[in-house]
Amino acid sequence: MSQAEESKAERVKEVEDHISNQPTPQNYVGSEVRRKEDEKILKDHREYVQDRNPPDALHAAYVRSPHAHAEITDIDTSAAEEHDECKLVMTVDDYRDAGYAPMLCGIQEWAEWPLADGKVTYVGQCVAMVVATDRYVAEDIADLVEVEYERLDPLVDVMEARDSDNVLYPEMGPNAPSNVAFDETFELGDPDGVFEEADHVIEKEFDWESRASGVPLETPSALGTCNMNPEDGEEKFHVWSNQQLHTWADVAIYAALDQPREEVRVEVPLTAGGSYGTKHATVYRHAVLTAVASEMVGGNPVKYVEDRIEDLQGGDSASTDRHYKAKIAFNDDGEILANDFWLADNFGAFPRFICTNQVLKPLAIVNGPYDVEHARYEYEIVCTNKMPQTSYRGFGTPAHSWVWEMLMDEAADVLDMDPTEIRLKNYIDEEDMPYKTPSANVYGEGDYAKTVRKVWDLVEDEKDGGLLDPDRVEELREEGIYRGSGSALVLEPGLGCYDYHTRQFIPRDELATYYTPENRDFSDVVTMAEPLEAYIRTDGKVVVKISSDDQGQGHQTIASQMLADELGITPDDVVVPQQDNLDVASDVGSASSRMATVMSSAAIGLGEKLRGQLEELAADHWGIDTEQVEFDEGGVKQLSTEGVEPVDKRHAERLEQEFLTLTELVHIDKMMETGDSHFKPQAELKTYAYYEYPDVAYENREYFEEAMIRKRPTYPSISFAANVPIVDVDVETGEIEIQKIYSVRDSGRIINPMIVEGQHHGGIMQGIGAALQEEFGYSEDGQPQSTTFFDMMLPSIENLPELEIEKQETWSVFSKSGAKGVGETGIMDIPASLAHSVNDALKPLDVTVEEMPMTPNRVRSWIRDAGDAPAPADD
Amino acid sequence: MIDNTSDRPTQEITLTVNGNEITEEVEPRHKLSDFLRYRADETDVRVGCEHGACGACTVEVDGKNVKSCMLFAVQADGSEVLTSKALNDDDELGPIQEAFHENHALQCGFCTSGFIMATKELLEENPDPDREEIVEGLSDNICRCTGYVNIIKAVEDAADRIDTVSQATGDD
Amino acid sequence: MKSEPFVYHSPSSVEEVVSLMNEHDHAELVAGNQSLAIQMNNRLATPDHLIDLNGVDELAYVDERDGEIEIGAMTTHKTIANSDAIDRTVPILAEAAQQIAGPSVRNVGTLGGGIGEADPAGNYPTVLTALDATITITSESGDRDVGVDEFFIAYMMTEVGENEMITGATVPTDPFPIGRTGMSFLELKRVPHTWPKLSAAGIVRVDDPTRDDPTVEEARLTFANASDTPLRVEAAESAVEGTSLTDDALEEAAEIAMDSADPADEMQAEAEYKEEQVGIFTKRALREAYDRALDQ
Repeated sequence: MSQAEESKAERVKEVEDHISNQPTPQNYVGSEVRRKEDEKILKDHREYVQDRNPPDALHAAYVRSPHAHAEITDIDTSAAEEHDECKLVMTVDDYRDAGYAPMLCGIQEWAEWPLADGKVTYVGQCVAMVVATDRYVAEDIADLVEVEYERLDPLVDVMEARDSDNVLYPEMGPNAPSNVAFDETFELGDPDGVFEEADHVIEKEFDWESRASGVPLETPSALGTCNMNPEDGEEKFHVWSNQQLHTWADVAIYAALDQPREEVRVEVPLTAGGSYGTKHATVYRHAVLTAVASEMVGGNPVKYVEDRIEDLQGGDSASTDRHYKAKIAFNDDGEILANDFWLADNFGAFPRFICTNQVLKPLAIVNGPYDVEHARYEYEIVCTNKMPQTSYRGFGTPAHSWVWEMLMDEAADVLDMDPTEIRLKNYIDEEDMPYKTPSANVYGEGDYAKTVRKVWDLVEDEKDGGLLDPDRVEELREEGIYRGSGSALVLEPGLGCYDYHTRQFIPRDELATYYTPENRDFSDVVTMAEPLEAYIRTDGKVVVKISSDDQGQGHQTIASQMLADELGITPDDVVVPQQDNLDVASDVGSASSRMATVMSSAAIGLGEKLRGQLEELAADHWGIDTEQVEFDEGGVKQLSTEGVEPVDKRHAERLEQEFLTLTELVHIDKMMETGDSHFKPQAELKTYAYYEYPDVAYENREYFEEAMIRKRPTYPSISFAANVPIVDVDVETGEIEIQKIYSVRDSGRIINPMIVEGQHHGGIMQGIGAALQEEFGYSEDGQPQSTTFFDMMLPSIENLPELEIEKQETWSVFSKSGAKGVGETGIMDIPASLAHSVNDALKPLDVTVEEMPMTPNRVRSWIRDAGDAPAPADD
Repeated sequence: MIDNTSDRPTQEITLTVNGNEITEEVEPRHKLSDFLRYRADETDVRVGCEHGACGACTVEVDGKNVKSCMLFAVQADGSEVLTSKALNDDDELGPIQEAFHENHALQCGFCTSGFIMATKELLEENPDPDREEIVEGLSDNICRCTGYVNIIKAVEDAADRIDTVSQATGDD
Repeated sequence: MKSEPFVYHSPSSVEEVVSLMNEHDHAELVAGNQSLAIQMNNRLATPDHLIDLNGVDELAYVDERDGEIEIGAMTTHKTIANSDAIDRTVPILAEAAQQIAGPSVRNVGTLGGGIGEADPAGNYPTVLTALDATITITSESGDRDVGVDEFFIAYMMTEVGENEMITGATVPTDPFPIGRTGMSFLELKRVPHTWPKLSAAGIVRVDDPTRDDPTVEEARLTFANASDTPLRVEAAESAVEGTSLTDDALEEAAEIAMDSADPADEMQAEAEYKEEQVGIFTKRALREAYDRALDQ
């Protein structure tokens, strides 16, 4: 056994021991516990942001820019203010004069005022906020605000913008004056040397300019209230919104409000109406401005619900928009030696806070699933007159993985190798796990080649009389339907460490000098642990306080399952209330596929701690040694009373009761020392516990130290999926129909198979949308083309192909629970997989996919350019 | 042009919403969806697009499904309106809701009321739909979380549940 | 997305509608409200008066007569899609209605609304053009019938003048004898909640479907979204008439149709692509219609 294998086996054993040593049975974890969230939602007892309507609330609407790029020469609010139901018209001057601050950007020396300041740089940009008695009237009044514009040349194309003298914000950013807000180059190993020596080098350009994004059905919304006369301990502002990551991204709200955190309570619903990463950056503008407006109108709550057209047009709702120049070097035998990816990402008018990290995350999987030692990774964050980007499920990796798979197809073609063979030849060997990537991230576990073989085993039957029967495929081809299939295995990195998120705030020379193993100490690395808190109520129910935010993932259910097993109770005995930002410790929240992974790990730690405390409590109560008690299902039992002489009758009575339930324990806890006091400080209670599960990469320092010190992205959770989509391309119309997707999906240990499958289904569908149809298009003058759902073609039920999914569980060697991320599944792997199958389908025509999404008109243009297909034989 | 600064036109309307008769003075421009949410407090009517594409606001008006964002409340004057909530029995989930719960056919839940109404109409017209008919029946509704897989299962399950109920009660 | 204020009227007869239109300036008629509501909510349409036709029950009918079938303007997509009479005589109209969005839209959307909106991508304008229908327009001075070829005059503009309303459409059924007529409606559309990038209506009547290689006696070929108004390509029809729909004839028809098309660029469907697809759809729609004519 190699050293690596030994250490891996040790880790897995550790997790297994953990579980087997746990005194309570695993009744719920791993089983399809039905969701706790559902009943409330289905009975309309759960409140979404839109649903809260205080009687004294006022309603806001925006005046938004009709132009992509223009100077604002005048804003005349007089007619609006004369309207007898107008409560407020706010421009950036009003906002600034009242002492509020700009919103955070993702790049050093960048600032964005929440209302346009002197110029507009995208269509839909908020220019003024109007507040009135209801939304209808607010829109009437917004129409009365007269804004004069002087139009400027719009910049839409990323390659044009990066060189242009027409700079959107000439005074901002480290490259000022430039539309390239930030850029970096990572030389990993010796890419130049390898490219020089390799038998083959291919270089291609790729476009993923769709900006495909989450587009949750619930739009960004906020209800801000200013407490004009706060009593001591009351916060100045209360914001009810669907802000994602509310326990740490609340900084975007309180910093703009120029308040200490303690003065801004951010409350979010127990379940928001979807987000998929987007609502962390699409909401805070409205949270800030409704709070400010509330102060300006004298304290009435101010409500704003973005409407769909606003959202699609200028709601910061789009995502990845990249042009790639990508190279790989390989030898005659198909061994891939190095990759070199350059990309320019069109971030639109502002490089929004943390979304800019979407160009960094791919660095964690710079080599994809392949064993490649040398790499160059260069990115440019480019500003144009498109709307700013938000984050989206996958956080920048779907495009990266797609480029990799397209290059692998190209390499196979050059060498005339089977595309699966060349992949199998290059997958990282299971024996080399944990595997350190060129960027120093580490993949913990997984047998990629075996997983790919497994998915082909599933497909096997299709080859004989099924979808892939050669006769059938041939027959279809004669009708002009080109059927293709192929296997791509794609990595799904999760659990990004906090430290790298601030990389783009650091001057680049410092990144090169200070952030090195020589100069930076590991203790300087900033991490965010996963906090979890629980206490036992007087009725024996266990209240779990989570800091993470739910947008449909099932936080309550997962937390209940975990704690139920930790304490030997049922999920119904666990209570998971909503928590405001100020009620709990900060947590990264629902990002980076964290929830189930870190919450499950934290729950193990918390369970251990709570059980230990309860054992102490019981031992104390019985006056015996802690060795003589043991936590059992739902309480603590006495193992022996050997060597204990009751000191009095009461003690003897106590000893007779050989099992103490949680209810009894909580009463004992609150009675001791201070008497029967239900006001005993929480910190002193043994029935209360707080636990922090450390950052996974930080905890596994021996593997991740270098990457963390260098402030590079570390993603210690590497889930993966191997897919074989079977696709039909109608070569006359360019339409792609997915006949079936076979998929083997591995996200480590599964806590709730039903929820995991739900994530797979939804993620796969979003992957299909991004691959085939979703697009935020722009005209040359910067007018958005997808401003309704008629143009933004979210997949409908009619787009659902047949799915055959097999779940595989390679437990994480790094996380305490063995779970890995599943929140970003599907969207990360499906686009690359589908494009790979389309390449296979169109191989006879010498057409390869170089642009996403693969809409019928694009597919047709590729086929046309390749010299067209032979006309199908008429029947 | 109508003077929209002060005396905007209003009209008194009466609707029966989930069995409750509601009479209100409204502006003709008020959408049925807003009326149901703000005046009738039926917040299970969710607003996802306000242009008739997503189906989240689907309600039944006089026996047929409509997207309530595409109807002005005055147009429903005198109508019987049902929202998804009305399909629950007393404190229990109704059979369609139960099927959605059992089959994990909702995640964020924002689109769910609309899907429940679409399911209701589909199953009333076709108590035993095949997969293709289910797809057709739900094609006016968008879900962004579930990928529709479990929604289809839930509709099949709901059909069975309703069938069982009607057999037990002797309905046909 | 909230409309400007307006006054609402809900007449119950055509007569009442006509008098309301004459009485009020800046009035709009609303039928199923599946398109006007969007325009109004975006404040692109700002009528002062909204006249709701949903109470005008006399306009919801399907009337099959000798040699023609008349459909009232307020007949819903659902009624059209489910009408036995329509399915028997002009099935392409039922097919086109069934392909509009999903059930809740078809519950309320109407024939008159679809015609009046005159969206170049709309199903009814294209199919009614293929069927050579007549649209009935009603005003104070009575009814007037306008042939569909003259009805759609420009992008989203029709013959309907001020204070006029669409009350129905009449489709002649004589040209389409049951048993030797086939009809086909094809769409290029990724999701139900969008408009087709292109659609085609093809109708073929053959001399005798029992013969070998029956001859096309008459063909109809129209397109949606291939130009500003529904596009009928009569020269392409002629190219296949008198043939047994040979490949050469189809190829010629396709060339002619492509030459006649003048589509607009749109996202995910540039003019070049649409034009090319006009050729493909010519062949597919006529082929399917021909096959259906033979297969009964």
